[in-house]
Amino acid sequence: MDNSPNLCVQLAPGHSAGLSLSNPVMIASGIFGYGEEYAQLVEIQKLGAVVCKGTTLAPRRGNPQPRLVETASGLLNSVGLENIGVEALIREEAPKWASWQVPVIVNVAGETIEEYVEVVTRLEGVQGISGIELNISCPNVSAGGAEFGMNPEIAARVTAAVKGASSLPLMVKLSPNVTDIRAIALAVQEAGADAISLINTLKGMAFAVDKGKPRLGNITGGLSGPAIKPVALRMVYEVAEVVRVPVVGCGGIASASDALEFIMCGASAVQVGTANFTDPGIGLTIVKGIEEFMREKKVERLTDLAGLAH
Amino acid sequence: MRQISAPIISSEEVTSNTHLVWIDAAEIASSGQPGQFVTIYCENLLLRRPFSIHQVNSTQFAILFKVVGEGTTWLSRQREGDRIDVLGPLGAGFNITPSARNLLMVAGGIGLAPLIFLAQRALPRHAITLIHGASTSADLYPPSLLRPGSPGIPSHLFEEIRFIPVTEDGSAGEKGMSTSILPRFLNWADQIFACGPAAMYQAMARIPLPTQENKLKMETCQVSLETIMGCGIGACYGCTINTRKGTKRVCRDGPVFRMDDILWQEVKI
Repeated sequence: MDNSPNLCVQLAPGHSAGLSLSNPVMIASGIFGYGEEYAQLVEIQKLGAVVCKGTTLAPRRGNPQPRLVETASGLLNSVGLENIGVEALIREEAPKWASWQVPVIVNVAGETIEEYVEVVTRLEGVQGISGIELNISCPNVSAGGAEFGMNPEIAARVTAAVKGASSLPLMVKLSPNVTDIRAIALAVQEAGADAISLINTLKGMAFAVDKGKPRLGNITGGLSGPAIKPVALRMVYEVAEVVRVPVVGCGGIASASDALEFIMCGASAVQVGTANFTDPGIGLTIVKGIEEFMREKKVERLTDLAGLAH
Repeated sequence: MRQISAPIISSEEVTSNTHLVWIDAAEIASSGQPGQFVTIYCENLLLRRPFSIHQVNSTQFAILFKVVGEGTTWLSRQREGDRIDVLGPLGAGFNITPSARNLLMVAGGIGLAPLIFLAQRALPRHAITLIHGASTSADLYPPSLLRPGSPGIPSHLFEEIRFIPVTEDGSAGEKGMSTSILPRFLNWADQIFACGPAAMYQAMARIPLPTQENKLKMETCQVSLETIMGCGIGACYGCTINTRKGTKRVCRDGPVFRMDDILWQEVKI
């Protein structure tokens, strides 16, 4: 009898095609680019899923340099969604993914609801894409630049618009820069999200005293890494308590123990981001660590661990 | 490119605050090219630190670095036999034009590091002049390490290289900056390679050059850039730089770039 623990997760149980992962460890958007570089370095196919770089309708040049600053246990970045645009993604990147075992989820960003809709419309029927992750932490240009994800009504509107234009499983990635994350989570669930991932980076800033100016070319950026883990865990706990769709935890995860914290607090899967920069093999190390933990504790299915904290 | 756990063979402070570390890693030593780099995990730091390959032998490679922050402090304290997590070789390195015979190399401070590997590979087919600029004599590569059998630069390299030290305080070699004496060697040079701080490149780009030929040599000069890097392998776009050909990743499209491709007025590294 095969006694290896079952790490499979279904992230879109309410979707006809579903989004089935062989294990709960995904690579967060913006880390692996389009996957190719890391595919040469790690056994990428053994990961649960890879989320590709945030993709917009037209190519974007991104923010001015410098774009990275290390802070206490954290990393501030302001890459500014530099990306090749959806057409180049379809032409040059997706064909490679079609032969991959690991599901690739395309992270979609935009400045207007129309842009989001146009991007997912173009992704319809493209081979090699298993799902969409909606980045609603982008500034809404037609509403004065406030993030889409800061307002439940606008978050719901963009989610519903994308849901109506895409047949792919839809995961919505929430911004932590809000007063009550539960309200946003409920709003995107009602608008049709198949899953919810959280958190995106926390807005932050660093200043160079010797130069008398901000360290980032863009002045502010997004904070990631171990520094944000307690905030992310609290938000995952709160959201998992109120929604019925699967929750994907993200924020400072750097070990199997970190991942298990999120799973026990209600996450069905996790995303690993910044920790890949420290160790490109960390994703697979976490998969092995979760498996070992389950073996040791005689847990047969990962789903048995889900939400123990609730 | 591979990520490996590799033992340190030797570690020595060669000049005040500058360390030479030899690492046993056959795959990196055999496949690394001049101008390429490795990233090293330094304890308790989120971002790996990039280091140019300074020299290689058949199974080992060396890095030469100045202690400037937490990462280099930690690395300088690792001893013979300690294993470190190394990823490489990474990036696009220097490229010697097939027709070039006389190579002019310009090193600003610790920028000497990758140029020694380039010189190692270029000899004996090429004649090399290496201008090494430093603030003071103590920052120049120490002559004691040029003896046969020393762990430093193999002495035969320095016998074959025309080595021109320049110090800002005049304590050794000529007084001045590497960029101030560089024009003297332009007629001789077929190709130029440089590694140093961004300010040195900006100064080089501003040198007035009367002849079209020398102008072209300076424009095609290959410069190695150093920035903070996220992934180090081209995936995260954290280390980009603005060039005439659009934004480029220093870690993957570089670190070596053509001088006139870089939009120097936009460089903030």
